[in-house]
Amino acid sequence: MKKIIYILLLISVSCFSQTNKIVTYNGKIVTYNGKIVTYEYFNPLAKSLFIRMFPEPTTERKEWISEAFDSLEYYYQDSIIAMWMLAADNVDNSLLDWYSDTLDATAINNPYFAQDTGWLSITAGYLDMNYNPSSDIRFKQDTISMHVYSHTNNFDNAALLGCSDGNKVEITAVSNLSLRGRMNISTGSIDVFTSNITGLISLSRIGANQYLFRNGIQIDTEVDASTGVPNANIHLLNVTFGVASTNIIQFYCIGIIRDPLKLFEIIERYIDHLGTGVIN
Amino acid sequence: MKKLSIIILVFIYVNSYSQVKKGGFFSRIDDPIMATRTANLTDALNLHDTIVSQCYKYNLHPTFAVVSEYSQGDYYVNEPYMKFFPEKLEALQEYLDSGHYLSMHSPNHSTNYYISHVDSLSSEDQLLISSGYSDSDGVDTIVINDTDSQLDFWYWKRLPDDHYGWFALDKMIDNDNLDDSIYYHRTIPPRSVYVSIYHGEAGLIKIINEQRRRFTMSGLDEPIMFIHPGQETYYREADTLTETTGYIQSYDDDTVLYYVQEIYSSQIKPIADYDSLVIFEGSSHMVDYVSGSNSPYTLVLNGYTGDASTHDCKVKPIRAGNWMWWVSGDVMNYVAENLNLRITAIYENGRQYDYIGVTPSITNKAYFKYAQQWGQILDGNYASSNIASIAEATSKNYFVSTNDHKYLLGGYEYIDSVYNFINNNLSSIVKCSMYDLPDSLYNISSPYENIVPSFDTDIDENNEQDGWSKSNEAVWTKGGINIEGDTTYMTVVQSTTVNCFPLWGVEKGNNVLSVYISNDNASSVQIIITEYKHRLGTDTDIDVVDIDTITITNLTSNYCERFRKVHISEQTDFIKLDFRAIGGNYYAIKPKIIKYTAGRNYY
Repeated sequence: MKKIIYILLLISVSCFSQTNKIVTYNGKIVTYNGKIVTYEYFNPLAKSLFIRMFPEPTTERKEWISEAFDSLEYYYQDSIIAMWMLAADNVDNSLLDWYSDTLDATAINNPYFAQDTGWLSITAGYLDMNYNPSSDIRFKQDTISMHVYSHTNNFDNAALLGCSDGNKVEITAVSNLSLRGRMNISTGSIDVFTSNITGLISLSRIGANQYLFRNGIQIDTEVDASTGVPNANIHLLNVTFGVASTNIIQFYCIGIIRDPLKLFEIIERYIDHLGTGVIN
Repeated sequence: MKKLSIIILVFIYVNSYSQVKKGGFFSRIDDPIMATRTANLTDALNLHDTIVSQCYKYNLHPTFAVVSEYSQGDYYVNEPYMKFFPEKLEALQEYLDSGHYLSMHSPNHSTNYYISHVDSLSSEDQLLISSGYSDSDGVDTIVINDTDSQLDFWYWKRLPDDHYGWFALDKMIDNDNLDDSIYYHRTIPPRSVYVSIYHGEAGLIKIINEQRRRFTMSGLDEPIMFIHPGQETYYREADTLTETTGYIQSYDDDTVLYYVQEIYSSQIKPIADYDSLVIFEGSSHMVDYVSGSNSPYTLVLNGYTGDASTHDCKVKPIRAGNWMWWVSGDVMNYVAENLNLRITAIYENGRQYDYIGVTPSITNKAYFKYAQQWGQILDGNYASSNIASIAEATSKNYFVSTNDHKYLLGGYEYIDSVYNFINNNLSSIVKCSMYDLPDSLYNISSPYENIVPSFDTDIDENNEQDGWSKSNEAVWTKGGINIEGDTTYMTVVQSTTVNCFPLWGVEKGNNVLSVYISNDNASSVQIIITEYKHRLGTDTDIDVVDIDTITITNLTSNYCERFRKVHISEQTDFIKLDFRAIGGNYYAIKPKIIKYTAGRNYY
């Protein structure tokens, strides 16, 4: 009898101990009071983006996007003005600004699109990001950064990034195995020898200085940057040089990011999910 | 955990319902054995052997719509093909043993089983009863034919000892001569008669002509009425026969119930409803033919070959006239009368229409109510057109069937060609019997199957892509690149179109439309999606529910798949797709329409 009472006591204690118990898995609540609850967490910015995407992404891709937004918020808070994940599942989704429905990009002259990989110029094709610094109240001319992710490694003297007037901002894969970045054609240019232009190429202007990064690591500094980004739409791929870039661009971001290392890591992680990342 | 699993499984099962996205084929053979058009038993059984061996050859299991009556009365003197032989019963059992199916095709191949509902008696009816139609001299009432004024005279006498009820006959007629003070009227076509039955038992009666032994329509059929107490029976005469006297007999024992003194010509317009079919089923002799559990599973009523234009249908959704009626799955335990492409539609003469309006439910097989008059596969030497019909139907997700009669006459060559074609070329399509149809449809349905036919399919090898029509032969050609096994249609001329109609299987609610589009500069295609529903009661009209116009332009230098959301109305039965080239050189490849669910992969 004692045994039975003991067992009953154990059972009741055991049951009681389950009450109000919250179990988490990977940071998500899966049970509450012993009941399964459906608690599907997505970053609010991600959820806004999902609504704009069609077809709405798979749950797996949603988790990647949400994870990226979480990290971007954590490391950069409001430092990102606009961001385009060109390596998307389809043409329409690739042109979406992840942050705002007012800055979706436009494909001009039919550049080449590859699913989950990005865009390639092909003759005169390019992407107009529909972003003009002069019309953006968040833009700070002396504190601005641009980040473009190249899937390929072609030194073709064609711009990965530029703008629609002659005073172009540019990130160019120069033919002499060097990478050029400058905020304005009237500023000094940074030509840096690099054996590889794949990955995230970042160009930042901080005060009168401009900096060039590859994969989050600063590779050069140019102090002569007295003129900022021209007030014209930012374009990706071939712009005013008249030379078609043979590089595929997977990602573009504009913001006021001083240190792009985390950005690189976040974007690389996302692209790795797609299976098209280039950094091992 | 077990409970949870069950709940999850049930959830998945319930949510697996969708529109059917495959076409198919089934075969029905009417009047075998029992109506072989020959009194020669040896010939009949030889033909039976031929049918069975032919089906065996192609591994098909048709449904045999059998005429079930075996009365050996003298009605069959003039129609010996109806005569019953015990050997025929053995042949029927052999059908079943061979894996085929039987359905009942009425006791005697009559087209005239009918009764219509009224919810309650009208005040005029009540007045008519109370005002004095008595049975004083055996005359219930007279109605009335004046040939010149297009009135029908009927004279009915009730037999003294019979209490089957009494009839108050109404005349319908030409409105100018209608005497409202005596006869109430309804909107009934001229030269028709109402028979209102207020008392007595429900049952079957025959209307027999003295001279020809029975009134006939096509020389084959015998009018039979169902009578219900308190319900109207609508009986309509036509003007092709001259015999004017006859009597009404009990269906069961041939007891003469009423003499009919004056009957002008007979053309029966069948009207059926649910209740009369129930009675009919209960009166069938089929169960005497086949043992116990092998009673027929489907019911095929006979069609009427007369003019359907003046039909008067009182009961939805049954359309009287040129028609096979659907039967129910929930009361009579029949799964489905017959094939039609899709739930919610009824077929007539190869066209589907009449929305039944039954709420779909995976547990309610009554939802699968089909009706068909004739098969889309024609009797006779129409091999190429029959094969084309099958190819079109299967590409656009609906079913076609045979409704064979010539088989019985030995003319089965066409069937041989059709079966052979299906066997050789359409191994993937659904081949089933009427019996299997509902389950087959459920089993093959997935909401995420593309419903749009490929541009690359021409199974009937007529150089026309199955499922598609072109506005201009010269500009739309098969060609272009090959993506995932499909070639394209292309045009170099703007404003030319290619369309697909009728396309079945579209999901109600949100769908994904995706189109591959070519890389030529400014290639742009306009896609017009027209949604249709069938309109009840007409055989030619369908209603447009909605029209969406979508323009898709290629933004890239390569083939590009672009997506659009398309919302399909709950009312929509099927759609039409128009592709129209509006910019550049246009190629479209693998257009797809699939049910949309957020978070699903559509690539």
